[in-house]
Amino acid sequence: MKKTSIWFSCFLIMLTFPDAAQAVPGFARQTGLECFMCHTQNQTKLNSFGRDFAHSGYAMSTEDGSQSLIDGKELGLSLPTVLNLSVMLKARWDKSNDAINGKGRVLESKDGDDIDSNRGLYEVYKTSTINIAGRVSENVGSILELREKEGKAIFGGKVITAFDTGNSYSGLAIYSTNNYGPFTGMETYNTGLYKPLRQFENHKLTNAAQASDLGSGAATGVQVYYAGEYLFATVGGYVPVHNSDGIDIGSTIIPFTRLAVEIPLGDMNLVIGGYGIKGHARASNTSFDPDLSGYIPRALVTVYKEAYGMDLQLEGSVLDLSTLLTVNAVFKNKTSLSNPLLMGDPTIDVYGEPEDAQTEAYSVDLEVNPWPSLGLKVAYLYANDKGPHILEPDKIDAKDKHALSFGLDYSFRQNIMFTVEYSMVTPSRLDIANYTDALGVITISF
Amino acid sequence: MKTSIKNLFLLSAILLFMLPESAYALPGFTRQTGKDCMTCHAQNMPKLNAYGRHFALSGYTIYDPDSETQSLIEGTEVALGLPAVLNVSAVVRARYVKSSRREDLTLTDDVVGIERGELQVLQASGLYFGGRVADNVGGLVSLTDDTSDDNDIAMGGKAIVAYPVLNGFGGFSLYSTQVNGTFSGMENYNTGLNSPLRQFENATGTNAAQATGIGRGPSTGLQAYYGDDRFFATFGGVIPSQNNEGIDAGSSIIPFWRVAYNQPISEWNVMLGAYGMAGTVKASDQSLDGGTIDSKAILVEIYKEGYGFDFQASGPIAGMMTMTTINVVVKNTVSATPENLLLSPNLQRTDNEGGSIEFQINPVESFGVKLAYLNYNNNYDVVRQDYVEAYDFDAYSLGFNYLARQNVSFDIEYTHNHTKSGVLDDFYDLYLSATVAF
Repeated sequence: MKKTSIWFSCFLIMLTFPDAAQAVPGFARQTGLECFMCHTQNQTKLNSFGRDFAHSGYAMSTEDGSQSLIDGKELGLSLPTVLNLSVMLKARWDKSNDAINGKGRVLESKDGDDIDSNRGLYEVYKTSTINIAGRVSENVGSILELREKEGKAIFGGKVITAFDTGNSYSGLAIYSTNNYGPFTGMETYNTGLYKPLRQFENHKLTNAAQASDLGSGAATGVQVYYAGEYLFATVGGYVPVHNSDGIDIGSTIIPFTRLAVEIPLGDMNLVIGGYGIKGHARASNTSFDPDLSGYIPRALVTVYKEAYGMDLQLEGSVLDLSTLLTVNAVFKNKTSLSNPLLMGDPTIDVYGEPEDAQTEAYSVDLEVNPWPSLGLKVAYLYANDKGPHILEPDKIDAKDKHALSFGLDYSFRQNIMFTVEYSMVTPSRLDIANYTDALGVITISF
Repeated sequence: MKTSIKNLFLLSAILLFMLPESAYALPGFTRQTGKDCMTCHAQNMPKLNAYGRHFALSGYTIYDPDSETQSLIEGTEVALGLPAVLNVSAVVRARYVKSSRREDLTLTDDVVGIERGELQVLQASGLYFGGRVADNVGGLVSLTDDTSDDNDIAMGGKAIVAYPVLNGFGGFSLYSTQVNGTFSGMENYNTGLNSPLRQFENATGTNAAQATGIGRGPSTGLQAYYGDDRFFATFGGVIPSQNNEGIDAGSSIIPFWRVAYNQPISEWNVMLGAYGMAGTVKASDQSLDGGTIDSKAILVEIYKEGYGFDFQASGPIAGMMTMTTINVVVKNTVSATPENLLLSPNLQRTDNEGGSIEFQINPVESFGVKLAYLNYNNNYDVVRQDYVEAYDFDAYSLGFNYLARQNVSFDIEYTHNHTKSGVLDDFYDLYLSATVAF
């Protein structure tokens, strides 16, 4: 495999995984409850009961459910008699017009032909996952995910220990993901801070946390949390890496925090939140990217991360129609490397990379369901990449844009959803033409 | 016959080792339906009988409503019908393969690979998840090892929407497979058109659809179908590649079709079918070869044309169950423009044809004796030194199948290959295999 191919592959794996897990039917199996007990509008978003279930560490008792528990005598156990599995299949068709790569160049072959989504891209069954999830024991739950990416098996997962503290849960989550970002351990609102929980499939053109690369990407961390009826708070530390073989970070870790309050407003529920990340982690370049081994001398690299923002979620019924409004404002998401050259050739033609960049982004997403199975949605996104992109000047302002998106979700079954979305993008850079993107998706969870 | 022995060896090696995803019998379906394996299978796994075809046509959604362990989770406002258990199957296979083909890839006198005798434990093994997904929807996901050096695993899958129509089922299948071929979205006869459904383990030495390549290889497609106890028809579009990262084929796709008519005659079922495909797909070389697309990509146009006939007769002779399958591939061509940009074996230029007849008789229920004859002809002058199907041969096979249990089988197969090139001596292939599905 050529070195450039390795670089290209690893950058894509680390940075631009475009999709994420949706509903996990293993939970339905564990509890005996239908999918929409935890999900609102469709299988991708959580309602308040779904948040409670997550806060419990996915360990809500199955004593009255469909599965019995095996209890311990001298030592606690409370293990479900069934290990609950589920599969998520996703098939996508993506057709864009004059869409660009991370350097602002239209997606073309070296002969000038349309390629990739500009030609029309069939992604069957992209980012499909196999999940083992649910209660592990009393007060302990887990999600383990296996996916295939370019012929490689990728494991990710989290383990949560949670305790009922009155009308609340308190707990600790340990997690490692190549895809879902620093808030993966415990984040349950649909504002895109945790990649799977968002309103649009086309996350990069509709959600600020996703467009700014804040709520996605590799992360390994630990966090503690408190989740009450009206308050959610968490603090933790993470490294922006997913490497099951080990990450030699020594004592360095990047702290992060997140706070959200819930305010009932009649039939609606308002959630206002804030989040922040600031710190650095130092580890081998081959820890950050194992594919570098053998191609580049092993050396320490420091990653500095600083980010903060606010999000809002308004959920409930308007004119008896289920409605969900989400807002995310990423005031700053800065990532820099002490020496980017230690991570290899920076001139590879990748579609996106957050290193050496400071981004701000703002988004508003709204979905209304005229019928329980059909949702109509609209989103607006503004993104501004302030660079500096010292080694790659052609990336300067390439991601700056306004994007307006429309879509609909149709739940053929609770676990089978058809999604159609259309985005119109106005880049800020004068040399980049406006472009559009149409997306059709089938998501099947079973 | 105008090629080298090297080409022959390369072809043989590829054909032998590229079948890791082929599904065997899937006990997950047994768990879902509460029925034993042989309710769906004929003689041995994975060959399907009439009820097995019926189950597949339903999109694997037929369910045991009285199951105590696998109830359905129903929806309220939006329908669901999700089984309370995700049924998982494992297929574990061990093989010993030896061939007498004379080739020296090491450029020494050492005999290597299957010439030396190769033990293949866990190759072609895998995990399978699926069955009923929801009301009128079924699916199957396979996770298997990948025999290539670059990849660890291969993930394939299909999702089927099926509704009762007339006397059978009508529906759609959206599929993506690494090895099972164009027709694998919905094909249930045992003539080798869908790679797992054949009579011999040594697929490319016994079955025309497998030897020519029309019934195997990476495929991503969508097809509509109708099938009942007698009639089956399907048409769809396919891209001859699997790439979960995406294939930028735009609006180009290769149409295909298949019809079959099955006539029950007393205790017998006799099926006559036909199939065909012709069309062009154009996509970047990187996506067709299974990689990610970048600005160095070049568009490649793949033209495929193939058609043929197949026949299946199953029923008892003197109280012994038999199955006869015939496949005649009248034409199978592949061309790529520009040439020599792609590495995928099934996207190499090809022009071949073949015919095969396979027969199995079970003197006792658990023991089958099988015979096969395959004629393969290549019509294309080779220009490439890799992945070349460039020789003519006749292959005569004898095999035995023993079911220790319904889900534990042993196969012994011997194939004598008579080559017509004059370049290569006749040779044999020996297969010993054990398969356990649970």
